[in-house]
Amino acid sequence: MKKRIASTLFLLFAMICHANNDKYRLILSSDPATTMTIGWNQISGTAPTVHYGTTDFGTNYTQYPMSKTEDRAVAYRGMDNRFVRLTGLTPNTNYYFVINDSQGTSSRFWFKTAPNDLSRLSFIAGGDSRNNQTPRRNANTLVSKLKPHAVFFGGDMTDGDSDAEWQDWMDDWQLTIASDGRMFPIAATRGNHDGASVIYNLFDTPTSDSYYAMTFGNNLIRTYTLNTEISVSGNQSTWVSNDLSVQTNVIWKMMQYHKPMRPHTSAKSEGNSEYDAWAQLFFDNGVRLVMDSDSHMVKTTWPVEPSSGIGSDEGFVRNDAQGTVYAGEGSWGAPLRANDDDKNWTRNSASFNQFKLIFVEESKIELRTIKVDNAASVGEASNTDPFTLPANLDVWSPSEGDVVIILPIAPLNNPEIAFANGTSATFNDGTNLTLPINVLNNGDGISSVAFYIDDVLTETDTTAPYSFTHSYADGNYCIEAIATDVNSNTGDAKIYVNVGMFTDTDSLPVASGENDVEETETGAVYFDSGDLEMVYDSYDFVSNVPNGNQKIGLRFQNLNIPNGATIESAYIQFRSDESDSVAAELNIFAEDSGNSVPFESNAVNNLTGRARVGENGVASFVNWMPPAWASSGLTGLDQRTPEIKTLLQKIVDGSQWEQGNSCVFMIEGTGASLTNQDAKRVVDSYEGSSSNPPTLVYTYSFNSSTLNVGEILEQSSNILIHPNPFSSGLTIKVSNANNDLYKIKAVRMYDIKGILVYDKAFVNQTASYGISPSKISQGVYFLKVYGENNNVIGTQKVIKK
Amino acid sequence: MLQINAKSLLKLCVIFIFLGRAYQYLFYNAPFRALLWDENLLKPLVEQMFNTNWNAYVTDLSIDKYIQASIKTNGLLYLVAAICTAFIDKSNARYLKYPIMIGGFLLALLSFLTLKERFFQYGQFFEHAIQVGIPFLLLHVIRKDGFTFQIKFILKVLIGLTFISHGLYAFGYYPIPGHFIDMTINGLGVSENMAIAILKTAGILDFAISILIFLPRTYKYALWYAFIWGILTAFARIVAGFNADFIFASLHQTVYLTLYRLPHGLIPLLLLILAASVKKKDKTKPSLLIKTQLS
Repeated sequence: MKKRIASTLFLLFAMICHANNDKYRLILSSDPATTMTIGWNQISGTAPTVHYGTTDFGTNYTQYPMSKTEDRAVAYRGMDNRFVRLTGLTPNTNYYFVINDSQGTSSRFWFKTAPNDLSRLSFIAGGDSRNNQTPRRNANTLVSKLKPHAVFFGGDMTDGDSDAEWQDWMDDWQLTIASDGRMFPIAATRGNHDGASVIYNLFDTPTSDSYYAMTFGNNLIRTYTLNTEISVSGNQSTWVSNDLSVQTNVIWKMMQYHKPMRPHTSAKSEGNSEYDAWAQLFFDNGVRLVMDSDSHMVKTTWPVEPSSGIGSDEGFVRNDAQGTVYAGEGSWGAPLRANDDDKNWTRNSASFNQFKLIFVEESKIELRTIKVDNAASVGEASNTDPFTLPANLDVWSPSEGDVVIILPIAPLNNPEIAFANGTSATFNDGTNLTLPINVLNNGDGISSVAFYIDDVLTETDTTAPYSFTHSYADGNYCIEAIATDVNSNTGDAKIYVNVGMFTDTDSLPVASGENDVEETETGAVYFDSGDLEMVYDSYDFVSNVPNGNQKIGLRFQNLNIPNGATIESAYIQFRSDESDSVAAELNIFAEDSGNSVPFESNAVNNLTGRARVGENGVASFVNWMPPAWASSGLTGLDQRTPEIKTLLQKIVDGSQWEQGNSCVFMIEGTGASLTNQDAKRVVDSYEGSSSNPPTLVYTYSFNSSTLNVGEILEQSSNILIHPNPFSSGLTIKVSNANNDLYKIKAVRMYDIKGILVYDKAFVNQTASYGISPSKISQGVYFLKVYGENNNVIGTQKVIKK
Repeated sequence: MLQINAKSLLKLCVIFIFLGRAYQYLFYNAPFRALLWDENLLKPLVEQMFNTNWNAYVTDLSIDKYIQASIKTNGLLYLVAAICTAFIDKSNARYLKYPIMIGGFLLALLSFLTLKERFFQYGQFFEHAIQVGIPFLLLHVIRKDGFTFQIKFILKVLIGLTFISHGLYAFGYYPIPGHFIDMTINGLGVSENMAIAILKTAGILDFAISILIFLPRTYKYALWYAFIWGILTAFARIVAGFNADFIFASLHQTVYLTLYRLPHGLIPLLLLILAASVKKKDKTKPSLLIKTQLS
């Protein structure tokens, strides 16, 4: 009896002193250096709060300097799932935390944020942990011993997606926690045995479709998690294609998804949808490693590229220098299938329970296949060096070697070319214009130069010197030249050609999530929001500090507006993300820059710190008082800014503006929107709707006979004017008269307003030309000298006495 | 003559189903492992019966070979059932009915396993209503030597169940399968949002058809729609999966999917033929009419 009473008292004591929660997991879905999501199951108790800091205070929660309550709670799969999203963390730093609630405090756990430099990284990647608990638990135990920066899990955690199975899975996942309480974050993928919402609800992925990307280190590797259980060729492919195309500074790119394109077990159907949508996209964008699952066996491939040509097998051919390595296929803890469907580009295959251990550094990726069955006898890596393999680790050593090494693509000797006219050229008459090409680097020997007008192949020149002659109607054209050498290396150049008088309208959405940002009241810039609150945002991008009255930055790229254009109209079209009716008041500013640079996440006030267009030191702005928005998903006139053509005109009139450059608009609250948190409008960001992101719509007119100030001020060393100032006549000498491109065909003179006042053509071409613009009055003029092909040889300011 | 030709169409449907499934089982897979690898369900049984632990059972590749062999054997049974279906008539039904019955039961088992694999979404089970039901109906038609009112009614019920179930996925009651959306995108060249809108509309029409086939005034129009839509969705597998670079491989992977779905369109056609024959019976010679219909 005494024993029973003692036991009961002990149990009561334990219940009082310990938070009643379990099934802990760390989740990565954003910047791994500065963010971390902590998830758990709240059994009972109220007001759970994560207390954390960089010093270990054990379970004494009051001593941790920072705390955060849940960002999301969702009852799902028989669990009360709570998520706290920590942001603003310091890179490469240990964080200790406990969860305290009304019933007590949890055990003390800790994690380490990823570095934000080019330090080496360690990943574990695998998938399929259904229906074989023994190897699943072994694999989980190995995670705790190998101490990776992240675990990439390729889906099919459970068999039937039932409550009981998921709760078992979460209990087994606790084995990934090291004996010192260190936890390792997971990036979860959806498989065909996972219900439509389970990954979103149990792993708090950024969207319910559970496809997302994040960059580790200083652009060391960008990892993508895709979803093969939803449409692969629709919005998902658009998103990944757009994201890949803008991630040009990333050293490595890696994918994980569930269903392989080419399973290595014969009973599985080919993943043709995935192949059609992604194989070429991956290869073209330098994706060098793909992790897939589903088949419950083991494979690594040689680097491959998509091809149906000679030597190919099932749509791929080996390309050691540039290809993509596909590694998989599942068996984290699963029944096994036979590896009976190798291809001629398969490196090795087998059937056993395993995952991949991947080390990433600037100069290479190393991938090893780890057998999980002997987990109990494997030693433990140190917390500071996860790269020294622990004792007894069973690394698979097949015929082609135990380590798959992926090396960077060797730089190619690509041809380099440029248009002799520069990057933008203006002509009054579009008849038979010739655009010569300057070869800056012949590559391995240029064999042809193809010319495209607005992406349509129009002519191919196979004889040097290369040039393109064509007649244009009045309008604006983008001419692209692509030079190809004998080894199929290519180089390209673009020029905008503006002919005569015309009007043009463009609709330009922000191109990626990095181009629509929120700056908090404290100056932190947040890239990943699914919506843009104008103005107040209660979300705390920096832990425990609400964004507050934030500012919105929108960067639009590749504005096809020539110098000298007159902006006829401009506005930004949004899509509402919620209904808002309280009167809001906003001001729209524009960055005073000829070419706005990308936003930076690590710089304080990176948005509001930018110079603004204005007059006499006062920033210009357009006031916007949007009417009430009745619901989300609206893209009408009410979701459109007022005219912002004056702002855009100032950008284009800037001396540094060039056709094809980028611009930034900033939106801030004013008046009631700074005092009333409900006086706001919320719109979709690129992450919220890649098909309806903020879009700049503009119309401009252009008259080639009117030069813009910026163009006029451009001085040239190609021509010499004498005398200057002049009284009746002057002489023009060309510095490179032997070159046909520099033989003068015409000279035109413009006044300070850009009005043509003198125009003289030359037939007999020599090295020196005399003109007598006697009828013009005294003043400052701009002389523009044209060559044989209507190319601009040079421009010079001249003064008539 | 009339009923022989209608019967032939029913036979053709059953043959398509058995052939399609035979192809699937012989060259690809069947969800046998949904049952045989169910750790929660079978672990105690396996460990007691075979005196081995579960891990050894599911990682033994020789057992996996047996599973695969059983799938292929089942595929052969479907093939035999298809052949028997081609030759069965009243005179030999006494012998040939058994392979067809076994094939029918195996189709029902397949439906159950697919149901289990798809998180017990009952729409998945009843989507197979036509495929599972018509082998047994064929045997009944042969025994009775005709299409009774009850048979026609059951056929309508099977159509209704199949279309409602399909509609539950297309409309989004269950999460719309990604391959539905991709098929629509690739087949029609539309955006994902448009594809979803089209599928939702198709889903609503599926529900409507399932009711309208029972109403005297509308059943004909509904059956015509079901015929066209059933054929289109069957061939959508080939069209959406076609790849000019891998013609054989893409057909190898899609033709069987089309084969066993063709009855989704052909069974409504069968009912149309039967309806037309009844209507014209009083006015003209039915055999001529049906000959024309089937020619």
